Amino acid sequence: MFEVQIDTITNEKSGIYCQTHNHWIPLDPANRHYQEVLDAIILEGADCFDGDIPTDLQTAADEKQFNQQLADYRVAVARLAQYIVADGRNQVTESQPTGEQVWNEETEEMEDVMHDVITVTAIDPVEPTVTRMVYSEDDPMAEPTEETIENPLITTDVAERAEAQAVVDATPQPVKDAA
Amino acid sequence: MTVKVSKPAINVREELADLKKPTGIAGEAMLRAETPQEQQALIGVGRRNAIINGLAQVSQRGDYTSATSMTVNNYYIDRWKAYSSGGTNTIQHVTSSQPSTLAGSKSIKILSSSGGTIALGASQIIEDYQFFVGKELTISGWMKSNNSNSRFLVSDHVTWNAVGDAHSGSGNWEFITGTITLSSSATGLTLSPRISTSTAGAVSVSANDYIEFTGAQLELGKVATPFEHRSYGEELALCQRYYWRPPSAASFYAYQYQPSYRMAQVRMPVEMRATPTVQYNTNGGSSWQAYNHNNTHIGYYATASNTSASNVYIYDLKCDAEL
Repeated sequence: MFEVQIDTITNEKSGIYCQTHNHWIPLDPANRHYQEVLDAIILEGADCFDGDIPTDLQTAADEKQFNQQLADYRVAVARLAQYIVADGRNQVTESQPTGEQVWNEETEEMEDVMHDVITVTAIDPVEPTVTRMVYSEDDPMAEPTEETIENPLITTDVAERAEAQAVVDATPQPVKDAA
Repeated sequence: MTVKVSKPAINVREELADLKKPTGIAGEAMLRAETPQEQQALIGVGRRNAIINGLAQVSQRGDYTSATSMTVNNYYIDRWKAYSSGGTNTIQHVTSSQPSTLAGSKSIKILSSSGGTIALGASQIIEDYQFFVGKELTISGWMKSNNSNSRFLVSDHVTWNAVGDAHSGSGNWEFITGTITLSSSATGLTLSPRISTSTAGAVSVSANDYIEFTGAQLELGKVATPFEHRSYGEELALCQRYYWRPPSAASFYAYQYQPSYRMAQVRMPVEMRATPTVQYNTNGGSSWQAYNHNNTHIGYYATASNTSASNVYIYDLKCDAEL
């Protein structure tokens, strides 16, 4: 639980007192405990404060939350932009100027010499399943049996994509607009 | 009569190489260096180690020579932040059985009491990380562990990456070194010896598995140079930028500055990284208030009459400006 400290000489906020840890926290954004106060305001709201949360602290907490959500959103979008491991990736070729130019007699203009450049290399999809040998824990002498499971690369990819999609879905629209 | 003589151009370096002087590979490299900066890098002079308290000599917060119950993200031995993703764990400041090449060093041992699927260790956040962005870094240090997933990791505050090989889990001291290029998009730099996957994820940890480390060094370049030894005084001053605790009995008396108020002002021994979080106890006076704190000094005033004979002071002061 935090409470604002008022300097009775200047009548201005001098810091934040943390009742839980019995320490005085300065109003300095570079101080890690000040950042923890902002985190507590984001997570717990007014419950973490003895009395009302000062407006400037609430504003700082809102700004921190916005920036965190923006950073998380950008990471999630970048993750979703990666190719799906189970599908692989198609090659993408672009026609780009070589830097040379030749004279076109029909148009009577210099024209760029173009060549095809592979901008995205193709990646084959991974095998959908893999087989592994399963050994009996009860009988070490027993013959192992084969077990077919989903390719762990696909499992990981699907889980990470789902996590990234959940972040995107939970991101407020103003944050998305700022991205 | 004028005689013109022409001589073929000679390559001085090749000529020197032909001399049968005992230059060796290092000497050759010095001669081939193009700039004094390259020569300096080859010799490994100057302030090299970005890690503070790499030998774990400074422990201002207290005595942890006995295994101490560990709280995540708390600091114990200076500059090293404890980390675990779960379970119950202890931290210990070990003062004996150090690596033979680091005689006099101390080490930090983090032990899992409960075991489980967890990651645990310690980390040090480098303040001046911008200096290292986009550059090749070499990590080195001594590690002892009974878990073969013990390793050094580096974070650019976006992702974690293992540097060098993992410890064998033999329970003996092993010197571990590796090189990594800090991403140009890094937003920080943290070194962490920990039991984890190569990307800092949880692994299977048995009860009483531990990681112990000392001699941690992080430097520019792709070669691990010998550990940069700094005196205790130097190391203490470096640590005090992040945390300062005078002896608990040290008293900072308040002077009477108004008929009803007294003020205690304390100047830090070194300029701290930021305005610190402060813990203190008081004697005498009432309604203690912070006044005009910053990263070089703190002040507290209390209501105390100028006719009062009681001593008014603060003591057991702790100033924390850690990252």
